[in-house]
Formats: sequence, C-alpha cells, structure tokens
Amino acid sequence: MNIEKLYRASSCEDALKTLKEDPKNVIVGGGTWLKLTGREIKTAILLDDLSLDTISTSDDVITIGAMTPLHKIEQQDELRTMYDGLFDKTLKQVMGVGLRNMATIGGTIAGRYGFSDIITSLLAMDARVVFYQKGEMQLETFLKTRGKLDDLLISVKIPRREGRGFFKKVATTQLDFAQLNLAITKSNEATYIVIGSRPGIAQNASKAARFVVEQKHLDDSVIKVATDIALNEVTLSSNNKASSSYRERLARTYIERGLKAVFNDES
Amino acid sequence: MKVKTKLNNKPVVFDIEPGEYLLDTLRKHPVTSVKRGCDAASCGVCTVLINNEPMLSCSLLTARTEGKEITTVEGIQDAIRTFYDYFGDEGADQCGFCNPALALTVYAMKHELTNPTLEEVREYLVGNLCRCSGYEAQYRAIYKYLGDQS
Repeated sequence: MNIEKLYRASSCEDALKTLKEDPKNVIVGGGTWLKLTGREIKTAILLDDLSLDTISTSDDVITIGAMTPLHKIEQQDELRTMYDGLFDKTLKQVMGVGLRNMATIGGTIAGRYGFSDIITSLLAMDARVVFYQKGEMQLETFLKTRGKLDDLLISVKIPRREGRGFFKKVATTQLDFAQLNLAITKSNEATYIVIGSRPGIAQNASKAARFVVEQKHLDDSVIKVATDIALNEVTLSSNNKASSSYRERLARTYIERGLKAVFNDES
Repeated sequence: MKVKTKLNNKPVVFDIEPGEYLLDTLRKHPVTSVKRGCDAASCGVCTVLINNEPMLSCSLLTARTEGKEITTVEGIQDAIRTFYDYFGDEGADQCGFCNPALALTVYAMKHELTNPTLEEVREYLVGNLCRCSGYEAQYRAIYKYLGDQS
C-alpha cells in the first residue's frame, strides 16, 4: 500500500469534494483495513477533525456518529443492554480492544464487508444510515448498492425499542472471521432474522420472520418451516472458511436456538 | 511531513512519510519495546496507548497521532513494576515478546474497568496473543494483581 498524500478534511463537504477529485482518493474511517487492501492511494482523506465520533439519544433513536470507535459504543449503557445485550455481544467478538479502539462503526458499514458481524446485528435492530448527500435510508437499502461509495456516511440511527435478541458468531477462533453469524430480534414493532457471513453480506430473512410472527405458538414444526423459508430466501455459499452445506447446518442449529431464546424465553 | 505529538510525556516531532504507520515511526525513533508481529492488526504485540487507550500501532497512521499522547511501556515503568512481580510469582513470563503490549493493555484495563471478573479480564485481553504461555498463568497473575490493587 502506498499513500501519496494525507488530507485532513475541514468539513463533510470538503471531504466529499476531495473524494470526488480522483478515483484513487479514499476516505479513511478507522483505517484498520486500509493496510490489508494493498491499494495505491492518491489522497487519504481523514475525518478526524469533523466531530463525527459522538453518540446522542433522542426520544426514539440512538444516533452514532460514523467515526465512533467500536469500543466507545460498547460503553453506551442503553446499547449495552438493548435486545438482551445483542449489540454488546456482537461488538465484543470483534477482535480485541486495541482494534476496537480504532475501528469505527462508519468504516464497518461503508465497507459493506461480507464477514461483518456488526452489519448483521444492525440489520436486526432496524438501523438506518445517514449520508451527507443522499440523506437517510434503511441500512438494508444501502447494502444493496454496488461500486465505490461516492457519498459520506455521517451517522447510524438505531430505533430505541424494547425487545428480545439473540446473536451468534461461529468462527474457528475468536480472532477469525465468522463462518456464519446470526442475529434475531423481537420487539413490539418488528421481528428480524438476519444471516451474515454467508459469506456474502448479511441478509434479512424477512419472509421467515413474517411467518414466525403469524404463528400463535412457536413449536418445533413451526421452527422447522421458518428455517426452511429462511434458507430458501437467503443463499449460503462456500469459501475457504466453510462450505455451503456446513453453513446450512450452522444456520439450522442457530436459527432454532435463536427463535427459542427470543420467543420462548429459553435464552 | 511533520507530526507534533507527545511520546511518554515528552513533546516530540516526527518527520514521516504520509503513509507511514506508527509502529515503523516508533521503531525508527527508536522505541524497540513496540514489537512487530503479524503486522495485520491481529496479534496485539504492537499495542501502544493513544491518550491512554490501547491501539495497534501497526495499523495506525502516524499522522493521526497529531496532538495526542503516545505511551509505550517505557512511559509506565513505575506503574508496572509491581505488576511484573505477579507475573514472576505465577511463572507467567516466558520469551517476553508479548509482555510490553500486554502490560500496556493491562494498564489501560485497570483504569477502565472497576473490579472486573476473570471473564471480563479474559475478554479485554483477547487481542493480545502469546505464543508461549497458554495464557492461564498470565490470567492468574493479572487477576490477582487487579484484586490486590483495588
């Protein structure tokens, strides 16, 4: 990797203008992934001076600035306990504290990484993302976009809801990428079943979640049908971490455990 | 380019390349207690404290330390002297390559967590790999040290 020039942006507009000046210009979030990409960078744009590293709370939403380090998010009381501590469990399984003091929530989302555990949980919490130019949108909508990001991610918004949650990351070691990750949430407003590290980017099994909500009781036969629906709408593939058949076994096991945990209080 | 920062409480100006990482800057300085392990943000032996928070110097652009305080193990000698006695008592010390980074992370943990459980200690230190010890003696030493210090 080679960086020709570093530029400390003075405003969001300045950062975006500089980004668009050359295809080889990049925005640096936490920078933890930058070195491993091996890419040639003309101008690395730093957002360190833009005060995008704060967490604020309104009546219905928690807003996390895009440059907020993951470890700082772990220290926010409400996020630590929301959905049975779903997000805290997710964050704590991302490498060690040293990395989480650097890696930012915005960098994680903007990269649209297939291996991301955090994106899986954010989808299950119905998160929205706010861009400087395009404004606010569902995280799920952003994840469907392709190509180089030509906008600046400002913040992530998580609706404040009370509910149950389940998160599971399966990996060969704690410091490895997931072979599969899974997040399930249930609140008065919505139910989500999200499967990630498929190895593609995390995806909502929305038909399966809808089916579960429509049932009066959650027994083994309902769980079996829900899992079949989920695996029909979410594609699992093979890579060097796991085969598609192994991923399917994992998904079946943990969708069952997750649904029982959030619906039957067997956490 | 020039970067003004503080290293172990002393003002310092680094003359760096734009894409230079802090690990390289420090070792050139030369602060050789900061080790190069995986060089890919995984093993933790390059850990330093930036404004008292542990970070991985192999993946931190030096330019981002402008105006901040960098602490290496040389800067916390008084604080860790007692800590190393606990390591000796438990036989936790082997090749020592990971010790400076581990000491810095324990130092940060001691200031961040109040009366942590053994599970919380293990969780906090998960990013600091040791290829010799098997960790158990280290955890015993650290847990006893934290308990006696509280």
